[in-house]
Amino acid sequence: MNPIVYAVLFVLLAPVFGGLLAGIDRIASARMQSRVGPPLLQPFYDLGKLLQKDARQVNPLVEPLLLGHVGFMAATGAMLVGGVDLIFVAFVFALAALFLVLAAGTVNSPYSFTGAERELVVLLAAEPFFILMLAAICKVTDASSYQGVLSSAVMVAPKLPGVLLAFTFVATIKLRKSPFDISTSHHAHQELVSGLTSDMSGRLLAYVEMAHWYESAILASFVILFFNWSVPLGLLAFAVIYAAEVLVDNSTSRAKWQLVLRSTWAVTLLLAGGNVLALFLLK
Amino acid sequence: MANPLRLPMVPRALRNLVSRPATRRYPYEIRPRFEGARGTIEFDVETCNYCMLCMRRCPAAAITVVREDRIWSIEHLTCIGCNVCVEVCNKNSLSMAKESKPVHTHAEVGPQGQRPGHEEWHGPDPAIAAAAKAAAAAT
Amino acid sequence: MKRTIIPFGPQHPVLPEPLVLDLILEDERVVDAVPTIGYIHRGLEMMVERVEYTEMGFVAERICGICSFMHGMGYCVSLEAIMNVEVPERARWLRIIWAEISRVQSHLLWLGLGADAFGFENLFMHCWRMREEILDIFEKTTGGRIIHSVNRIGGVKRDVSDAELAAIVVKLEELGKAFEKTANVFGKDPSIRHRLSGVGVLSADDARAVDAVGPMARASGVVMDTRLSGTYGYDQVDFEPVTETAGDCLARVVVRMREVQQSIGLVRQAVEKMPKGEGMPLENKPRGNPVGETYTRLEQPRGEVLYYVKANGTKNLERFRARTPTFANIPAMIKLVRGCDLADVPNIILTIDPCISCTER
Repeated sequence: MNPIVYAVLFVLLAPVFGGLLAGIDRIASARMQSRVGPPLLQPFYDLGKLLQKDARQVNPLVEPLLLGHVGFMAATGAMLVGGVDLIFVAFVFALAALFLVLAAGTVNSPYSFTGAERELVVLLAAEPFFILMLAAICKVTDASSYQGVLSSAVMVAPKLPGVLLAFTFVATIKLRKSPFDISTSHHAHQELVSGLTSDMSGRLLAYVEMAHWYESAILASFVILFFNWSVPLGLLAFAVIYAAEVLVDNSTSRAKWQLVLRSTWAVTLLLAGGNVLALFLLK
Repeated sequence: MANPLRLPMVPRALRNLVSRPATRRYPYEIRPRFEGARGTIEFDVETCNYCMLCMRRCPAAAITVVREDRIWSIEHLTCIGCNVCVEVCNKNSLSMAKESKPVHTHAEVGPQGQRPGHEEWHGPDPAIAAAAKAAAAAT
Repeated sequence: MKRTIIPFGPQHPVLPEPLVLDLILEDERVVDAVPTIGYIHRGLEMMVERVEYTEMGFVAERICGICSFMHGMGYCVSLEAIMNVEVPERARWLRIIWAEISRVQSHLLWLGLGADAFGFENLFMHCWRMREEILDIFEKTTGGRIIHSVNRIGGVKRDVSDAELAAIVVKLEELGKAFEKTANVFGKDPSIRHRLSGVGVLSADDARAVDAVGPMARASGVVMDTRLSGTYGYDQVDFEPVTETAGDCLARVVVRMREVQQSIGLVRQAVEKMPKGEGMPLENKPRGNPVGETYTRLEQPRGEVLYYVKANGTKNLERFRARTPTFANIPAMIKLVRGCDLADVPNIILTIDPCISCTER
């Protein structure tokens, strides 16, 4: 099939996937806290409601920047499954995240601004890992595109177990789960209120939510890369990783940014870096 | 420093996941109030002798009694449910029901000008009372 | 360095009540904090001019929703002292039981809020779930979950049967056992230690210097508990005030967790020691109007509360004043907030257990 078709399918279906995932997440979290929890489709109802509401723009720049955020997030996914060079995808992924920081930074509110500063710290912690991860995957499979990795005869996960473990760790940041939800949390119950989304409302918040759903779908696609011999196994692995994230989210408190930065870099260096180094040395 | 990988909450979270939730789906499932809970004041118009003691002792000034017109009324939104009027009533005309009045969402005006469910009014119809008064004055 | 001012409050998710703290930040470090109170002042003390002394107890109860029993009790105790009313023994014991149960309720509420402040939603749910069962006990025995309205000048209005008291003790001990597991999470979880241990340290000397009261002072090693004075029946129960020496946020959490267990023990003692039987006198009604003035001290969940009542022989009191524990602890909070990280601010504010409704009345 034409890669363009994959790209279009991703842009259309990823929000459905992300929204359903968020719905399952909310039910599972509620049950872990021994609450009944919302219906499965609640994230979609929320999105619909957000789109209906008036958006109060503090700065007219916010909307274009957030459109850039959600647009580039969709573009990252489309490029990923559309067969664009993986390293390039990693940079577009970082760019998409940067748009959110810019949108929050243009707002002249201390909560939003401090949230944006923290999001930068978080990007600094997470992005090097994603570049390292994609570079390592390209290296072991000798391919540079998504389809290339999937059709490669080399199994990625057995070669890069350390990178997969580090991915589980770093995904906590990207999924905005406790203990690493320092820049914004789903519950808006922290010192920064809701961090960098504090001053976004109505459809602006809906864009952020949509971008987050795309982000979950991109992370799922990354996991499939590790299990390049079987896509269902990859999805199953993502489900396991996500379940672990939800469990950890419900069993820890929020960390401080110093710890986030240090621990993520330590994990990236030790697990992922060590894994890649070992591959080179053992060759 | 404690072992960073030992999270004591994990087993409890997993146990909660498989056991029944502790919360109720509130508007659909309502736990009945316990016996002796303080809810709404109930008034028995038959036994009241309009002594006005409840009106005088009510801390929130929710009760209005007019002895001449034999009117007893209570504003349920002002009532704080302290039970004092029930304690002081000589004729046991007042009692405390354990259920609270549900909140009304539509602004309807009752037949005697009262607000829905929140103002309770016992006494002759104001029009009839006024007519009776006029008749009494005439004779 | 560029300074950022974060207006922490009056509406802020980690604050249960309106308090403003202008945090002056350098990067993420707090260099100064300016508190402003007055957002929830209702003029309850002024109401003595309009409300008769017999009814003022219900107003006193509404100073705060969490310590409502103790406020009602403090008012009644003050009036009893002025009017020389002897409270029947069973009523005195019932007051101790309700006061200690409300301490358990208040601490559980606070532990939940504290957990929420450092981002542990699950623990918050667990604490509040347990608190609901305590509130059920209140609803069964007093008729109200939050506002109990059982205290009257000269006694209490409702009796609790001996069988029901025994059932309450069983229920509380069950809850105490279940609470052990929650306490274990608070004490052992590494992510909680990361957030609380060594944060906001108040030394014993500082605690005395800024006049900290209640669990705040006890967590710094200052033995200060108004119950030790033995008034209102506390001389007949055995207890040791809970103290910790570390003085940090974790110590304040631990003090309150241990006090939950201590209060459950006190309820059991009180039920064992109180006179048994049905139909015992519960209330000695006062005669006439009060004349005179008095001070009353009580140990609320948050610390020492002080009531001053002055009566002039009319139906209305001349003056009613309550100095609440949160008010006494605000200087300590400001001292701790200076120099801490922004992420620590909610923990420090919450570990004083702020009750702004009490503070401003």
